[in-house]
Amino acid sequence: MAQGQFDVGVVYRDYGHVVLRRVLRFYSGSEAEEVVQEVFLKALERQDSFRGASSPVTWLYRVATNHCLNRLRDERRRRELLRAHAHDVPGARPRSHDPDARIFLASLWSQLDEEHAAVGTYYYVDGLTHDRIAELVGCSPRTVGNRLAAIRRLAESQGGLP
Amino acid sequence: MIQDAMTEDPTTEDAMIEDGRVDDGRTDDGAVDDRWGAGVLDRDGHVTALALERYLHEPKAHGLRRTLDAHLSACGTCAGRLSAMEAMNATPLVVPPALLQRRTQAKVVQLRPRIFATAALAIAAVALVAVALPQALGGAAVDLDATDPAPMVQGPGAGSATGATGAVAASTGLRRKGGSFDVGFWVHDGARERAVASGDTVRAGERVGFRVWSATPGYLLIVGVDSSGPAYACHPQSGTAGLVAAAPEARTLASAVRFDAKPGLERLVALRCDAPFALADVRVALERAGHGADPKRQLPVLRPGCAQRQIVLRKVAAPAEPLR
Repeated sequence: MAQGQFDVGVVYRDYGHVVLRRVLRFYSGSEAEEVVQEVFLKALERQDSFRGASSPVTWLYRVATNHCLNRLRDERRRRELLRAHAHDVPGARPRSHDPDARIFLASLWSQLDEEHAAVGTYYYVDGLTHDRIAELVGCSPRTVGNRLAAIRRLAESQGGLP
Repeated sequence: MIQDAMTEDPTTEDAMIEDGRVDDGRTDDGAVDDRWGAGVLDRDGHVTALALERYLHEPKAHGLRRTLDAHLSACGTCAGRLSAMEAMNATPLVVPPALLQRRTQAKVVQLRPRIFATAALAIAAVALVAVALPQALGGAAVDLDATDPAPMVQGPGAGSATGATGAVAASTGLRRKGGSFDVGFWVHDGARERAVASGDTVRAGERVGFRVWSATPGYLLIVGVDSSGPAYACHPQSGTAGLVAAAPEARTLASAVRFDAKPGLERLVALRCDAPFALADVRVALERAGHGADPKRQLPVLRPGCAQRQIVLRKVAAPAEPLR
């Protein structure tokens, strides 16, 4: 897949499972199927922003993550869906046993803006390092640290993360 | 009515992708260098899901593969995760026809919601505008945030597309009278929700949502038409039928549509077909039947072989109360 050569049919066949697995972290069942289609439509609309030098997997992974986060703005759905579906995705490591992840999913997520929610998701749900989050989100590792610190402060103010 | 698809957030992928920071270390020959080795592990020392995806789908990522091969040979947990992903990949994906049909429409559709999202904010801010603005927009109504998951009323008062008596699924509130497909329509006035049936009155500013149950998989499209305007798509708001899976229980769709201030009859039709289709395929028949429609008259079959449910509502201009 190179810039300007976005054939949605080919891309779907090649990377549909990638997007589906990512979406399944947030949604399940037929809704997940709908969201996968939405992600590819989003990717189709944003194809000009894909740079051939980047990994298509990483690009689609990021588009899928952001789309799901945007779609889950309603705080109740955020809590319910992530709590319910963050476990059984092929290839994903369940982190719901992690107390930090549990607290994040249960209460903090819904109170954060999109930037902090994305950083928190990559950190608490996906277990990524600061450097990797910085690369995905497009900011410095220091900014990632600052955003995580803000999340912790919020958590502490509510009796939060251990 | 006017559809308003998902809200856009300028802080997300556009910003991430275009600020020049995203670089996966791919070299000119398509290989990926070794500096990504450390980035493939999570804080617990296991391979990240993203790295496993790249391992599976990027055969030229040689450095990544070398790093992961070493880890996978020693880590049963990650090897098992990779096996699960490979098993899932073994099931080929069929490209949804609806997706292919959108190829040439995407950029056009993208422009409309931005305009009407602004209109929706104006309506929320100034109640009076709820009457004036839709008229200025061609007598159209403004759709809600498609992600708004309005909680649905439960129980025997549930409105059904058929309006007929029948068993009520206790857990969903959706009335089923047999067959393999049904849809319930629910109206929210800003404070309360109620099920509606044909002949019920709705007001400007109220929004309608949908619950759908289907015993068999297919393609679903919910459309609407008033007594004089063009037909519009309610769900999916792209106007192309979306996949609906077979499920034992009804589910609430993410889409909702807000009624405009133009009084008259509003006909909503849900179609579930075995083959993909779009609003364009039923637009002429829908508008012909909908304009000046008698609410007691059943709609003709819009698409042979498809399950079809409809409801006709009486819309009045005055909002019931200030919009929220």
